[in-house]
Amino acid sequence: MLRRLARQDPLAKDPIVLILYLSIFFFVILFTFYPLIQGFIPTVTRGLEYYEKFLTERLYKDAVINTFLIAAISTPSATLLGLIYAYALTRMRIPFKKLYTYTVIIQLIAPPFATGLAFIMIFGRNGVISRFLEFTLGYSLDIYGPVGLWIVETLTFFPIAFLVFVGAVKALDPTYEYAAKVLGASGIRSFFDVNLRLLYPSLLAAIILVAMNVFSDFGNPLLVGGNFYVLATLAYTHVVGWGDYVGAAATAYVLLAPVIILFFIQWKILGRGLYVTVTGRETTVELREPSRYVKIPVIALMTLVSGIIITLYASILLGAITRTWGVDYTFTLKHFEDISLAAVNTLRSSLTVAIFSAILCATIGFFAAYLVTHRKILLNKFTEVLVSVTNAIPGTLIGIAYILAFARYPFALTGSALIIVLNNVVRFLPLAFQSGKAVLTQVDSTIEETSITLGDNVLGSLRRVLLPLAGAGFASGLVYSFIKSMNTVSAVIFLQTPDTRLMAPFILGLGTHGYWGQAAALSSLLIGIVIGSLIIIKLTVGRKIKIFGELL
Amino acid sequence: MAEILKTVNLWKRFGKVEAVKDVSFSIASGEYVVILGPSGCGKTTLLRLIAGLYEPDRGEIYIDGKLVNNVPPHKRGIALMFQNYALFPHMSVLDNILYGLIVRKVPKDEAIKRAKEVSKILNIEDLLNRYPHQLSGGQQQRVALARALVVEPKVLLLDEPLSNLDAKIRAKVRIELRRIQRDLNLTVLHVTHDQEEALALSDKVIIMNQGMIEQIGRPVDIYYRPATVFVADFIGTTNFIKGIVKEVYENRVMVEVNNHHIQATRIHDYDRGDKVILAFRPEDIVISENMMEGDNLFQVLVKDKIFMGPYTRYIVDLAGHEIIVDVYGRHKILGSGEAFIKIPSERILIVRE
Ligand SMILES: Nc1ncnc2c1ncn2[C@@H]1O[C@H](COP(=O)(O)OP(=O)(O)OP(=O)(O)O)[C@@H](O)[C@H]1O
Ligand SMILES: [Mg+2]
Repeated sequence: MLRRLARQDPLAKDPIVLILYLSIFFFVILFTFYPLIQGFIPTVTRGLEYYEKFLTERLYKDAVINTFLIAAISTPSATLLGLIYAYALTRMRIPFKKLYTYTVIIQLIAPPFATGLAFIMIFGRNGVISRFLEFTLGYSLDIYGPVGLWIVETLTFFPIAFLVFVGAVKALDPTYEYAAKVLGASGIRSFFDVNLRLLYPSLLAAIILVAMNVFSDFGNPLLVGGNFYVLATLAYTHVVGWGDYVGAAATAYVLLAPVIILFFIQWKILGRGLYVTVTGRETTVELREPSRYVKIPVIALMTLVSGIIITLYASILLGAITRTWGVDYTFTLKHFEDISLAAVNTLRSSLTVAIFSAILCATIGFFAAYLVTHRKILLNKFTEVLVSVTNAIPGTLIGIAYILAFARYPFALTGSALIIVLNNVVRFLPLAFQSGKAVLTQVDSTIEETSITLGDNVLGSLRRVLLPLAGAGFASGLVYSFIKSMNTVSAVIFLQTPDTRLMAPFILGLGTHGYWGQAAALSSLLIGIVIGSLIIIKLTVGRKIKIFGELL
Repeated sequence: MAEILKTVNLWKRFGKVEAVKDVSFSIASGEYVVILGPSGCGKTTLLRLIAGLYEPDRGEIYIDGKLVNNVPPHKRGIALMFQNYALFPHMSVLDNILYGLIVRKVPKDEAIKRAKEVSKILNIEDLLNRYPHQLSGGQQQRVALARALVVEPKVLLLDEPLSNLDAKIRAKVRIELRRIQRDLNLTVLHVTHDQEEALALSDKVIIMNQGMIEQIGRPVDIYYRPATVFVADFIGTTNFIKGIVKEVYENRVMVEVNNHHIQATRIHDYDRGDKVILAFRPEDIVISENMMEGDNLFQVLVKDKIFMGPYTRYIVDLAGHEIIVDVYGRHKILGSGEAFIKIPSERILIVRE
């Protein structure tokens, strides 16, 4: 059977290829599917009682409804905002383009919960604006709940839609738009008639990606949701509040259902994994400006949004260096001093975990991308689904499943840093895979075949030719998984122990308990480290590496 | 001469497409063999089979007398040069050339010495520190060739090596390629769809069509004694006339074409009434205003004439068929009107329809 598979591609018979396939399969099966099954079994061993609650008990029913509600209102707004930003920044002449772009980028590289944190520092109880309204108008603002969460989720995830659209908009041929205009359609009409139809696949991609992220988001609902529980926060409460791991697992499985459905819809319709790498070729045709009636509202909206984002991060920075946020704005380094010990500890474990996760993740992702792009055997599609599927698994679920699966023989890993690394690798593998694939597909197959016929073996040619050639893809895989590993909360919050306390969940904890000064101080540090590492990579690897498409 | 490469009844199918069908041929050491055929006839597939980049469905491949079907490509001792040259873009020209030697663990000094020798032969000594994107198409081609040559392959496989060059350079490189092959006594299997290239370069031509070999032979044989209608049509310009076998003699056949009788040399057996095609080259026909002696003499109408430089091309009408006649050298150009042509019977290829 393997012989037959290899007939179109004898290089696939090299033992190293088999070893790579098997390693990747076993890795994904052992560290994705095995825990998912181990986590699922206890939820059904005593019948469906855990799941029946979602039909009968108020708290559970509400969490389901809330999760869908938030996804239903945040997805359209985030997608639309992403589309507007993408169109404006690639197709319009507007002042301060860079500034708008940077506000999108900061949202992509900062931890997702930073938006929620800053938001409650401004609008929350004791927030700057809340207090101001309280004092001047006697009006008490309450943003905890769906409205606040909607705003925060929109601001957090519109950059994902933006990335999808930038690629597509750049690849669009403006001549279509000209043609429509010449034929008499007005500017807006022609945009909708022509561009949207051409953008349809990306529109769908953006909607699905944003929806999957909103469904799974954990940090922001925890900070801004208040009593408004979504499934991710409800699962967390099961663990932290009630010590009920199995109930938590059941809740997370309910959350998995819509997300995995979205994942397979996306595969069915688009025939491939979704990823946030930009591949479109930029068109050079001179652009005609849209009319003022389009341009002015677009710029106004973008100024508002980017203004809010700048304000949010400014609050974090200021919060880090003022005595009591909202009350006493005298300069102080007290917060940094207060948390210095925790900062050093959590930073050390976060960096260690992130570095190991990134290396492992980028390596596995790169090998998987190599197999899919260069070895022509039937398993390719399957491999691609296998390494992309974790994209669709909520972090909360994986985290809880890991505790249940790896707490005991034969894989007693709970409490170790290794379990956190493995979990990160599994979760961010799709990103590393896609960035490897984006670059490796550009490398013609004759390159490898030449090195082989010159006498090199598969591994040698991988090392001597393909890796150096696709180094940029490997490096961006490293960067993505490093950033993600530094920022992630939803799964690792369950896996860390006092010995392996990580920075991002620690900040989230400080934030939820109202230690804003300290949370802000640590957040600034975390964001600073991520930006610093990006700068270092950019300076060392150079121009070839593409992070977030052409944006950085 | 020792046989270096031999294929026996090779088959390769992709889904419904039979890319290579029952292909058998052999190449002797030091021979320059060209595989010629139209686009999509399976040339690249055949090369890739030999290189080990595809596995045949059936058949055997021998290199240097050894069956290599189960030998992986990097151990077959061949070198394959792709049409796109596939230079390693991240390596300098020197590193590209050194690649095959390094992976064979040739000591560095020795490797550099050999790389320099080959570069000298190919006239690329000055380019060694450049990168592929800094080279012209012709220079890239030489570098790719140097990289393949330096490992001293038992057989050098070239897939349309000249097709990315413009016509002038192509003719020059062709001569050079042949000189290098002679000087180094290389065994070359070269694939092309350019008949001129095939005839000019090769010791032996293999004509392929739809995955099958139509004919193997020296360029002159292929040109003057095409074995099939396909070969006759594919190589050079050929006149085709359909007819019916009227009489079969001991060593000739009489074919009727619209009440005219044409005699052709009999090679195979024919029966009376067989429908056949007669094929003959324009330059084999003798044309004159005057009556001539001998067989296959016909009166024709000169409809058109084109002066082509080395020769003049006449379009004449023979019993309702348009026939092309080429006359080489200086001669008195015929006027329009009646003329006589003679088609030597031994130069007519006759095949069943
Ligand atoms: N990997 C493949 N999968 C499926 N079909 C293939 C593959 N490689 C070749 N073919 C088919 O096999 C036939 C022969 O292809 P091949 O590339 O060998 O032709 P060729 O003679 O080299 O043509 P060209 O002159 O255009 O390079 C074609 O019909 C082609 O479509
Ligand atoms: Mg070809």
